[in-house]
Formats: sequence, C-alpha cells, structure tokens
Amino acid sequence: MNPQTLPKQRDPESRGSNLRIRAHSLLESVQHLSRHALVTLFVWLLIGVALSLPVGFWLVQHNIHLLAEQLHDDTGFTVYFVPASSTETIEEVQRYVTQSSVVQSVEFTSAEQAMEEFQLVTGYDQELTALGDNPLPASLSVVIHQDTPTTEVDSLLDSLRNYAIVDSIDFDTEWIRNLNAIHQVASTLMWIVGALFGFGVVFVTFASVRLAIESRFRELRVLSLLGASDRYLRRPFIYCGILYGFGGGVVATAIVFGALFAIKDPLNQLVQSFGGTIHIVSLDYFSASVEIVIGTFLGYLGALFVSIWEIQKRRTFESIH
Amino acid sequence: MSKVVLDNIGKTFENDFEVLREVSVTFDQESVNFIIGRSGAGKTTLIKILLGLTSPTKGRVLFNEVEITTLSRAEIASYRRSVGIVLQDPSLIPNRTIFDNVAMPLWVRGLRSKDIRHRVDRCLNVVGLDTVRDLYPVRLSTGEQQRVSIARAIAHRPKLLVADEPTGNMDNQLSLEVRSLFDMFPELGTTVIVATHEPELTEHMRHVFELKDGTLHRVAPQVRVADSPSANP
Repeated sequence: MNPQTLPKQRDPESRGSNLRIRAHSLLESVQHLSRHALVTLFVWLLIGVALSLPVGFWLVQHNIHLLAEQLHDDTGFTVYFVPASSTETIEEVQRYVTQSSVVQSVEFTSAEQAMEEFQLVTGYDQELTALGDNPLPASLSVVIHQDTPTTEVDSLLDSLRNYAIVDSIDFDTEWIRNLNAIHQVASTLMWIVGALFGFGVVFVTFASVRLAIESRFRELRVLSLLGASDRYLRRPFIYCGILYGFGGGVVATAIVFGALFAIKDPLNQLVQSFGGTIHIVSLDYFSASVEIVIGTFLGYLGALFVSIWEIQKRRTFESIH
Repeated sequence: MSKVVLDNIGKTFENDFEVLREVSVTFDQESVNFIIGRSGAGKTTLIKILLGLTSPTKGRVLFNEVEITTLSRAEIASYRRSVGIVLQDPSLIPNRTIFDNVAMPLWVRGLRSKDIRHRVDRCLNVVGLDTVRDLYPVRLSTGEQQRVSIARAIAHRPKLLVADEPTGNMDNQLSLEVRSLFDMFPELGTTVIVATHEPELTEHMRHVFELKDGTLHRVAPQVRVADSPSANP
C-alpha cells in the first residue's frame, strides 16, 4: 500500500500519543494487578520461591569455589625425616624438591627448631628437657604452585617416598578434591535448577497472563474492532508479565536475604572454626539487582509468548456476531 | 474526503454458497446510506468486507481511493481507527463505566486525558446521555446502551460510520431515535452506511440500497429530498 494514501488519523492533540498509549497500558496493568491482589501476591510468591532456589545454589557453589581457592593458596605438604638423618642427605632432598617445577617454596625446619616451637606452644619446657634425646624430626614445608595438576603432585610425592631418610609425608589432598567435586556438583545443580525454575517462572507468568487475557476477551474484541493493533492489544499483558517478574524478583531477593540472616550466627561460628580466615560471600546489591532483572526478563518472556499465542489464536474475536 | 467505493464485489463461502456477486456502488461522502435486505441476504458479509474483517472473493473496496482489500493487518487496524462501528449488540464492556466505554477508541489513539474527557462528554451529550458517564452499562436500557455504542463510534471523529442492524433489538420509537442520530453525522463530516432489515427505518431517506440475490440495487426514495426535513442535504 502506498503510505501517502494511507488515511492518517493523527489529530494535532495526539502528539506524544505513543508515550501516552504506553502509560495507559501500564496503568491498565497496574489496575489489573491491584484488582486481583491475592492472585498477584500468590504469583509473586511462586516466582520468588522459584528464583530464590537457584540463587541460593549459586551462593553455595560460589562460596565453595572461593573456599577451595583460599585453601588452595596454602596447598602444600610437609616431609618428615627419619630422626638423626644426616644434614647432607636432607639438603639433597631439599635440592630435589626445590628444583621441581610444581614447587613454589621450601622451608626447612631442623629438629632443634621444631623442639623450640613445640616448647613455645605447649609450655612443657622441663618435661621435654627431661627426655634427653630430641624425639622430633627435621622437616621440609613445601608449598606448591596453585592449579598444579594432582597427578604431578602425586608424582613428586612418590619420588620423595623413595628416599630412605623420608619417614612420612603429611599431605591430605583428598578433602580438597572432595571440596572441588562438591563445587562441581553444586555448579551443575545450580544450572539445572536454574533452568528448571527459570522455565517455571516463565510458565507461571504464562498461566497468569493467559487468565488475564481470558478475563478481558470481550474487551479485546471491541478494541480490535476499534482499530487497536496487535501490539496495542498485547502491551498491557506484557506489562503484567514484567510486573509479575519484577515483583517475583524482589520477593526472591527478600527470601535469600532472610535465609542468609537466619543462618548468620551458625555461619559465623563456622568461619570462626576456620580461624576467621574464610570469607563468606553474601548477596550484594549487584547480585540482588541481577536477580530482579532476571525475574523481570523471565516474566516478560512468559507474557510475550502467551500474548502472541492467545491473541493469534483468538482471531475469531473479530467476528461481529 | 470520505468516499467509499465497492467495485464488483463478490463473495463465495467455502460451501460454494455465493452470497454476493458483482456488488458495485459508490457511497458519496458525508451521506447517510441504508442497505436493506432480508435476513441472510448478505448485509453482514458486506459490512464485514467494508471493515476488513473478511476478504471478498473478487472485487475491491476503496476508501478515499485506498484499496482496503489489499491492506496488511497493521494497515487494517490503522484503517479501522478512521471508521466508527455500531453493531446490533452494543458490545459495551460491563465492568467499565460508560465514560470508559466511550473513551476506548481515544485510548487506542493515545489522546491526552483532558481531550478524552472533553470528547467523551461531548459525544454523550450528542446522544443525550450526558448524565450517565459514571454508571456501568448494566444500569442502562437496551436503547441507551446502543446510544452509548454510537457515542463510542463517533468519539474519534470517524470519516466513515458503519452500522450493522443497529436497531435490531429496539422498538419502532427507539429505532427512529437512533436513526435521527445518524442523520446528524454528515454535518460532522462523516459518511454513514447502515445495514438493516427494517425498511421503515429508511423512510424519507435518499440513499437506500437493497441487497437481493447477491446484488445491490438502488431503491427510489419514497419522498423527494426537498420535501423531507429529516432527509440528507
């Protein structure tokens, strides 16, 4: 069609009409939500719970990740020598360890230094002096580079065990491995739960907006006959979905903050048990905003799908009898 | 300018029933036109074609030289914003006030609130219902509801007003009252096309067409225009 011949129905007073149309649609949506306040609260709560679970998982896996990283910073092992080992052989082992590419630093502690530290910590000065011989072994404290593959560390440990003067090696990698495995599981679960509950949010919005469309079917028919475009017909329902998602996001944030507040004391005790060196990440303003934005987007998606679907499906509303 | 031309319109349904064939007519601008015919003659089909609700099997509809039958969905919506529609069922929204019902076409056009108030009050005044703006439709009689739907149809100052059996549920007196409203619209620059099965509604009217056997014939006016005070100018 030639646009120049399209009957333009723009009144002089309709300048800025697009903005007013959007404002009117938003007002209609807010009115719809307030008229059905109980349903709205229920939908917000549903979306809130659905969003708070993946966020909770995210916080758990994020903290496990940070914990693993912090502990990994201090990853190393201690080589204990057979008592009365010669200084030369100990130095040989120390040289071998220092040359290893996985080792970051090595610190030697002689049997005498170990005894001094032990006396200092325990206060059993006289009792230890009474022993006569120093029962404590000399040792090497080895710190390995971060992100060193476990296989390389294991290889180094096997080499060290071949030295006759090496009595034992104190290195517990199992629980760090377990922590990393838990992190992997938590991370995978977070994505699965996030996807499932994200779909849930879209579905809840879809169903709620569908009911809203059904309740205004007669009005849609009349508006269509009066020249409302599809976009005009869809807009109030899309705004409804956005408001559902936004409200749900706010509720989810409140739930997560509430849960974090509830476990604050036991969490502090846990942190104290690690000497207060572990930093626990909570939900900050940015993360909370992201959660609300995701909720809003999912609400928009659900409303967009259902409004396109339903209004297309109900083309028959244009029948005049 | 709001001339409407039906050019060789034909419509055959899927069951091969040919309801319209070779309907050609020009509705002059700012005139009141009546299409009469018995039930099932094809009046509503013709109205639907005029509103872009269904496509003719052949022929074309021109509104101000724009071919309606080839418009896209968005363009049809734009076209309908320049058309007022009155149906047999007033189609008022029960949970909205009379004011809101009349304001609907103005919301679609995004007018300012104060302009909407002004226009709605004026239209309700035209149809003699300026005291009911805050009531709900259920409080009005059928005739009053139809007058509200007419107020809604003219609120956006349409160039074309299309009515399908607007007096179908009314007694004779109410029907004549509604018709007298249509008589006023040419002065406002609106072309009126009314489909009805009530021939008495067309008394003293100048532009009367009968739809019979799928074709449209002009009916001679019963009274000369100059003799009738209620006829079109």
